[in-house]
Amino acid sequence: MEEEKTILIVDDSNAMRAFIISGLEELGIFNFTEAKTGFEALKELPRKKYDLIISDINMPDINGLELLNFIKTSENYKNIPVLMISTETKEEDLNRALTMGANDYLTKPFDLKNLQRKVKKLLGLK
Amino acid sequence: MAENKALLEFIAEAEELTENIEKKLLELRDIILTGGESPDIINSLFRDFHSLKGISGMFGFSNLSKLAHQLESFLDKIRLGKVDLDDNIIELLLSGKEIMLEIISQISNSNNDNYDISDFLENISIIFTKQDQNIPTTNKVSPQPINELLQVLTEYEEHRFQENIRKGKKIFAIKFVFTLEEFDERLNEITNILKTKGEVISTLPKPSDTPGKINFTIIYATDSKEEDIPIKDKYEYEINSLTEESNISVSPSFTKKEPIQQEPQQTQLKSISNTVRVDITKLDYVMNIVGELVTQKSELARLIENAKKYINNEDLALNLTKVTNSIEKKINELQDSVMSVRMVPLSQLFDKLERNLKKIAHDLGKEVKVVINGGDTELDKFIMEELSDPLMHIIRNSIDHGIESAEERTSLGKPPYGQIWFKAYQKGNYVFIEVSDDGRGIDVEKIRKKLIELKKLSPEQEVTDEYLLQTIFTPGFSTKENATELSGRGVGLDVVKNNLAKLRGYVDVKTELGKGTTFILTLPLTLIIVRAIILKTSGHLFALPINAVDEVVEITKNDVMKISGEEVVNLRNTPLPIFYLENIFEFASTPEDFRYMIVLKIGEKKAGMIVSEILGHGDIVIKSMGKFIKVNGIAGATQIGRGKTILVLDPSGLLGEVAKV
Repeated sequence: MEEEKTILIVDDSNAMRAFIISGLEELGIFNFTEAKTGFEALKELPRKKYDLIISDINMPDINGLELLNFIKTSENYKNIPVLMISTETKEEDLNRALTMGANDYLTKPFDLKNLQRKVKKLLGLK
Repeated sequence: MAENKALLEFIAEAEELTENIEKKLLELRDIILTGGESPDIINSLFRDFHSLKGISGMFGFSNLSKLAHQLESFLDKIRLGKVDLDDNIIELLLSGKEIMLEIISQISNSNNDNYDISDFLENISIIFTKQDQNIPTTNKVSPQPINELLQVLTEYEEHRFQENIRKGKKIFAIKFVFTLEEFDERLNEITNILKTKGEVISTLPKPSDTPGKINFTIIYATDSKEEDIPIKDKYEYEINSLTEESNISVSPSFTKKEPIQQEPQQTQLKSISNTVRVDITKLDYVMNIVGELVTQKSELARLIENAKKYINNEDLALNLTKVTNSIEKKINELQDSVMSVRMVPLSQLFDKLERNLKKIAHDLGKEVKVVINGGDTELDKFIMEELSDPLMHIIRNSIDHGIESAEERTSLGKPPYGQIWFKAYQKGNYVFIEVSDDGRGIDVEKIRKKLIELKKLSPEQEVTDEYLLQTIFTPGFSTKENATELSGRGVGLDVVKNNLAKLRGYVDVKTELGKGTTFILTLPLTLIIVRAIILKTSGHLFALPINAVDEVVEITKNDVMKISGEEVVNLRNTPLPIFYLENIFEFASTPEDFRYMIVLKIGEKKAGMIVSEILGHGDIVIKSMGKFIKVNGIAGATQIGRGKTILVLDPSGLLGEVAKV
């Protein structure tokens, strides 16, 4: 049996988080930590060992790029894969995310299949 | 079902976002009208449209997504300084918001968003192109990002950075070290202080070498000098200027300050927002159960009282009483807390009204200023939802008929713009909402003439002004010759009265010719569980909600007098009009013998209700009798002990009936 995966989902939209979770549950992943803001994510990070972080770029307090930069410059977290989510209109921000070390990205709107495919790849699931 | 849950979240969130958008647009309009600017609000509006676009796209609502996308791009151009913001653009955004709201309600009803948005999109694109041509290209200002920190900025943040440099502001990188537990609170404090003297462009977290700590760098634009930054002396930080040549070199001037004594932190580890959105029907359901419990509780108390007669053990009897008392206390607490969950501040409604009001005024070519008082007064969510139609009718009426044109107002020595006041307050178990204007007032003589013309009044009949004013709430009444699209055609104020009656409320009007009109709406705090008096007259039992009862007086037939054909009782030297339920519901002739007068009072209205017996009081749950049975003066039915059902009187309806006599 495979070890259970734990995912941190950072998005200020309840609906988005619910949507993402519904897709991940189909993959048999049930351990989620939800953060509504970058600040919450910063607090959640040290509490568990995460296998993947999925983060929106556009958020209040600190944005997804700032969070990503924190993760990728931190000795403790830099190896956790990060999947960034943004919209196609903000290509510039996505480019910045990729240069800062984001492992993959999705642009809204995306379908669950696409999300599942990317998550499986990042988690090394079959 | 996970996806279904997500859809419900979607609808709730989409609604919330549109409400936020409206609020912010109104705030923004006020700011730009006074010549100010607010990048913060513009950015947060952008984020709202952006989120709405994102989620509606995800859920496959392409029209809503398309619309939000257009508006988002528009906002993006505004926040990046590519489009100038003015009143017209705010109007356009507001009408966009209106369409989004309609689409969301369609989604909520029929799960699709087939809505024709082509006209609106075309309008936007016209303004879009026009604006695009107007704006000179802003030249990017060097120095380009001086610091590696700045590479983390989003496109927008970079724009704000450039924009502030262009305006000659000083930009600082201020570095703080916090513990993981308290960084968010500290940062909120600091950001709020900094914002009083400048703009916080970005907040960058950085890992710290010390476990349990986290570093933050705030990029801050301000007019202040380094030594005048408002957090000086309050926090420990390290500051670097990003704009002054001399400071770009890496020799940070270290400003070490003793941190101010802080209150010990109690709970810092809350990570998830403690707000839950609940569908109101679920609350109704809970409330219904609480209601049943309340009825059962009364029945239990009665049974135990009876049972005690057969119990010889004193301890057991005492314990039974104790237990029933404590159940009663807990049920009351439960009832109160469920009630409090349903209460929402009226400001939610007033904000919506204000926006509509400005639109109506704009359409009629009038300028109206709005003053809101008591927006924090709370009312049952259900009642508040039902209030927006009647209040809109009143507002339309005020703007259309009440408020004069700017020229007329000026010639009358009034300010050229009309004024409308919303005022809300709670008195006892009622909430009062007043809507006043400083328009021309209602001409009661005109009403009298109109009534004579309609043969509803004979020329010699003497009636009070109050009576005449009440007739504006009857169907088909309008004194205005040319019915306008907005109000007129005699439809409107009778709707107000009917809508309020459904809520067991009451509408009253006061007016002064040439000075203005005030509508006063009186509403019960809640409709569900009320304390009531159980009374009996001519053999019929009724429940009367206690919140409208001013006092109960023992009287005899001899106390009843007649003044100009009207029956009154002299109550402490003031004649009080009285009435009999027998007359109103025509179930018996006026009783020969009676003992009590219940004085009903709502707002300014007061009358005595004559009944033969008062049997007791208790909490009742009012159940509607269905939409087909509507009797003025009856609020519904309720069950009292052993499944017996009786009618519940509606005090406001009764007082209305009395006014007619």
